Amino acid sequence: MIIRKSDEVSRSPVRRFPVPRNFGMDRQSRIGRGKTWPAPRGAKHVKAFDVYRYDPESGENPRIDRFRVDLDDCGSMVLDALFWIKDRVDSTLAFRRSCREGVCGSCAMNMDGTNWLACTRFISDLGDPARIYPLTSRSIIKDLVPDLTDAFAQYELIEPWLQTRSPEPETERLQSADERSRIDGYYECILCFCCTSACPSHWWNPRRFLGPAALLHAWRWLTDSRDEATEERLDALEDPFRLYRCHTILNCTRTCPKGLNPGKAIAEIKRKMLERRG
Amino acid sequence: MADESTRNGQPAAVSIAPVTRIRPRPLSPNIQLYRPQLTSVLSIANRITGVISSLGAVGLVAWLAAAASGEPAWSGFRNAVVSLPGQLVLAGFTYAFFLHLCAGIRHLVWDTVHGFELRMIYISGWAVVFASVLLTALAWAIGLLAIA
Amino acid sequence: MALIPLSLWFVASLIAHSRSSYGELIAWLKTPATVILMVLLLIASFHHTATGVRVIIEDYVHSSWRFAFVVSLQLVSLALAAAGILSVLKIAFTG
Repeated sequence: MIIRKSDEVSRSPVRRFPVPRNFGMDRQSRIGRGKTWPAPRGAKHVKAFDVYRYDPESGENPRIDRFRVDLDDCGSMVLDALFWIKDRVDSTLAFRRSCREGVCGSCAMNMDGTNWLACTRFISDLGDPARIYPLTSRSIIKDLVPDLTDAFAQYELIEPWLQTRSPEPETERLQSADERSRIDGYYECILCFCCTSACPSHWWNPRRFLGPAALLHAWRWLTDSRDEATEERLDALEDPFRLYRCHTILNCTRTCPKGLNPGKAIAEIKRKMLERRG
Repeated sequence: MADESTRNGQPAAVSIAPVTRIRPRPLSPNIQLYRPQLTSVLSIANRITGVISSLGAVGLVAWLAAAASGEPAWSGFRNAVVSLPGQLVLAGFTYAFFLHLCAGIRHLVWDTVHGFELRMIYISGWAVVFASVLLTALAWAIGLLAIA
Repeated sequence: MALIPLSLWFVASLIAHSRSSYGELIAWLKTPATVILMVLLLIASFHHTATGVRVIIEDYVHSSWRFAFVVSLQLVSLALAAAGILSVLKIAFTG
């Protein structure tokens, strides 16, 4: 019942909120039934995967296809299963991936109801059928590929680079070990947007609320001893929607595949705002 | 793949085929899909109990108004409250109040940037759940004992 | 934050007076301490209600109704708080 680390998989029997599957969805977003692909012949260990499909060229609504994966012929991670499906069953399945070891953040998606990286989630941790969806509450380009334009625009809005006013020193801008340690837990973010896509407040105000990923980065620069634009950064966040739409729900901290704490970063910003007001 | 040009300051859409411009893109599911967790469930519970407590505050005004307008009105109000449905509603208000109170205290602690480790988030979350049940039971036990 | 002690005081008083007669209740409501605390409770609760429900409206309502909802919420909260305070004062000075 007590979750210690974000990589622990929920065992609670409640898998969904009690709302209809297409509750409140736009006409173009409603999910229909897809096709069921045949099970591999002669396979001994088979697991069903229900995968969200959307083909922009078909003119049809998204659908759920059921694949059956031969676990003896496939690696142990969800990303391996997706590759297996793409190689053996349906080559049109689209998903992003790159490093396959939790470093790049490309394969972020929703598996059994929570956002995580497909390359670091064990197939054995998912139910049968495993439910594979794109990141939650995103405009979908194709299948498991979400449009992250807005997410990166929000990241850009917090100006994620070092800003200084003091004259450029002869050597590097130095930090003490203690000053450097203050950005620990914040600089490691890989921008997979698992957290922002998991935030209910961001679901309801996706444009005006910056979301946990962008705000975590905002704090990463606010707390950097070398950065001299603290006042301007705080000014840019002093807004009922950009920052204060965070209601400390903490789905972000629960879901971060790097074990970071966006919720805490946002609380730090709020406290800094309060200190500044005096 | 990406069309680098921007129009009217709008970020360029990643256009794979012209079809995508004709048909609006679907939005992937959110509340319909995302797994209920202690984090989100307590947050929405805090919200719902807050609204219920607000209705309770309306009840408080009604009670005061009834008391102010004389004994007959007050007796009517009292009879409604001591009836079984009235007691059930009152019990609901009590639980809503205590859950909202406990969750509010948790938020006050968070405002000081304490208790954000995932383990502490879960411990404080379950503490809110159990404390609200316990306080409701305690309040009603004292109330009923006082009657006896 | 003031709402925490005030509301706990109110719940405790309510339990204490669950068996009181009308006369006993009015006598309690007439004491100066009760009047002050009750007025403070009404102000604090309806201020908290107004700000809290406003955030909820801002979260879920995205149409042009938002402004109308927020304004009517604040008017209703104000009216309810005023009605409660007037009742308290009426009991205190006449009743």
